[in-house]
Amino acid sequence: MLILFLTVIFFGILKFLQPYSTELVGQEPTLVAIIVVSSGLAFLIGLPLQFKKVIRRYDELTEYEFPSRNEDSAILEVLSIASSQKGYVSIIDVAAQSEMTIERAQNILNKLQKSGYADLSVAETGDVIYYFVGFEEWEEE
Amino acid sequence: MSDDNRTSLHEEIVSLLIKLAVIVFGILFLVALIGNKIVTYAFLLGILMAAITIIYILFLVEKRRFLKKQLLCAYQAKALEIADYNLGIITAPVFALQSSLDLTLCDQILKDLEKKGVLFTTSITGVGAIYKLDEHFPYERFDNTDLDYEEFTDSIWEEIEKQSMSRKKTFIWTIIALFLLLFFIDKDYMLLHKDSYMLSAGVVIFFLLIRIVHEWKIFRKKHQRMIEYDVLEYALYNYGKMYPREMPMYTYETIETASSIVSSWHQDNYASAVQVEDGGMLYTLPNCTKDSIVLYQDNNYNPMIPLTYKIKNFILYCCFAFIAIFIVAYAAINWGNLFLYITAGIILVLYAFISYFLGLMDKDQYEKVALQVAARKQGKLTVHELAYNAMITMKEANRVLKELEKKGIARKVAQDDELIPLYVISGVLSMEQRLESERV
Repeated sequence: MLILFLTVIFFGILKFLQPYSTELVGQEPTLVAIIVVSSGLAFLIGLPLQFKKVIRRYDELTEYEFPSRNEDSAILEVLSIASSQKGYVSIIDVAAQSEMTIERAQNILNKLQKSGYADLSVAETGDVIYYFVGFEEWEEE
Repeated sequence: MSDDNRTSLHEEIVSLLIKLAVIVFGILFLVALIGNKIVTYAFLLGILMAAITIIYILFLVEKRRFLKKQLLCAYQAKALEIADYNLGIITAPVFALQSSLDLTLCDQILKDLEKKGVLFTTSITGVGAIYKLDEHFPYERFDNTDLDYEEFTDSIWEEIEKQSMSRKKTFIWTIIALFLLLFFIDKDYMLLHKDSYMLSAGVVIFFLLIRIVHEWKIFRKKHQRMIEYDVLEYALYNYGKMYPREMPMYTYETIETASSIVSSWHQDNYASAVQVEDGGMLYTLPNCTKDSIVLYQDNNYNPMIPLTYKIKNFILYCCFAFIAIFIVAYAAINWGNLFLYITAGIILVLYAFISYFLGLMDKDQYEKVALQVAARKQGKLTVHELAYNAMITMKEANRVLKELEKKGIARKVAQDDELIPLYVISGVLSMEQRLESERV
C-alpha cells in the first residue's frame, strides 16, 4: 500500500508540473513516462522503508508485541481494576479508580456483561457487582 | 530566546535551506539531462518497472505468509505462557489484560486452542469459559548454560552484513549504467533490428528466470533448514521429546506447522511416536543428550531479513537483464545469431557446473560436521544430531549419512526394537583402544 500511495502522490505532483517541465525536458512528458517516473521514485523511497517496517514487525511478533490488535484502553483499565478485586468490580470502583465518568463505566460494564465476559452479582447491601471469571487466586491441584 | 539559541536556530534554518536548494537544483539538472531520454524510451522503462512490480508482488505474498504464521504462533505462545503462569488456568479477560489484545480475539484464540486439544473447558460458574492447560506440559528442559559447544563459524548474519555494503554500491552503479544506456540506444536502430532485439530479450529473460528460480529455491531450502533447526533445538533441550501442542512457547512454529514437521519426521523414520492420554501425540528423537549439541548458533532467525535481501537481488537482476538485452542484441547484430547461441550455451553449462561444484563443497562440509559430532559421541551419530549441528534438514542429513555408509565410513545399526537408524562412524577410537592396538 505504501508503494501505491507514493506512486499516486508522485503522479499527482508530476502531472501538476507537466506543463512547466516541457521546456526543461525538451518534449511534453507522456502519461507512460509520468507513470514510470512516479513508480520508480515510489520504489526508490518506499521499498527501503517497507523492508525496515516488516523486519521490525516480525521482531515485535517474536517478542509477543501486538501493536495493531490492542483492546480499548478503557476496557483494559476495567479488567485491571477487576483483577485487583478478585474479579468482582462495581461501577463505583471503576469510576473512582480511573478517569472514567460513572456513565462511561456503566456503559463499558454493561457492554462486557452483554458480551458474556462478565456476570451480574448482587451483594448483601443490594449493590450490583460485575464478576469477571479468572481473576481469583487458583490453588495448585 | 537568548542570543546563542537565536544564532543556532538561524544557522540550522540556513543549512536546511541550502540542502533543499541543492536537492531541488540537482533534481532539475537530472531532469534536464535525462528527462528527454526517459520520455523517449518510457515504454521500455515501463517494461522494466512492470518486472520490478512483479518481484514486489512476490515479496508481498511471501511477507504476508510469514507474518500471518508468526502472528498465529505469537497468539498461541502468549496464551500458553499466560496459562502456564496462572497454574494452567486462563480466561478471555485474563488473556486480554495480560496481552492487551482485543477481548473478542482472545476468546477466538482460546476457542481455537481448545479445538486443538491444548486447553479444555472447566466451567465453574457458567460465566464465560475457564480454560485449563493440559497437564502434560511443559516438559522438563535441561539448562543450556553448562553446555560444551563450539560457535558455528559460518554465521549467516555475518554473510548478509558483508554483502550489504557491496550491494549498495552495485545498486548505485546499476542506476548510473541504466541512465547512461539511454544515451547510447537509438529507437530507429532498434526498429531496424527488432528481430535481434526480440531474440536477445528472449535469451536474457530465460537466464534471468533460471537465476531467479534457482535463488528462490535456495532461499526456501535455507528457510526450511532454519525451521527444522529451531524445532531440533527445542527437541534436543527437551531430551528428545517433542510435543507439538507446546511448541509455540519454545519455537517460532504454530501448533499446526510443528505437528506437520514432526509427523513427517515420524513417517520418514527419524522419530518415534506415542499417543498420550489427552489424545495428543508425543514424538521422541532417540539418543538425545547434552553431548548431541556440538556446534551452536544463536537462533534469532528473522526470515524477513533474507527475504528482503533476495527481493533486492531480484530487482538488481531485472536491471542487469535490461542492460544486458541491449549489449546482447548489439553482439547478435554484429557477430551473428550463432555467436549468441554458442555464448548462451557456454554460460548455461558453466552455470550448471559451478552450481554442481558448490553443491559438492557443501556436501564435504556436512560430512566434516558428521565426523566432528561422531568424535564427541564415541563414533555414534543419529540423523537429527547431524541435522542440528550442520544446520541442514533431516532429509539432507539422512542423505549425507547414506553417502558415508556407501563409502564404507559409516555403518547403520538398528537399536533394539526401534527402527530408527543409528550410525556408527568407523575410525573413532578411545585412547585405550589406540594403546591396545597391535602394530603391523
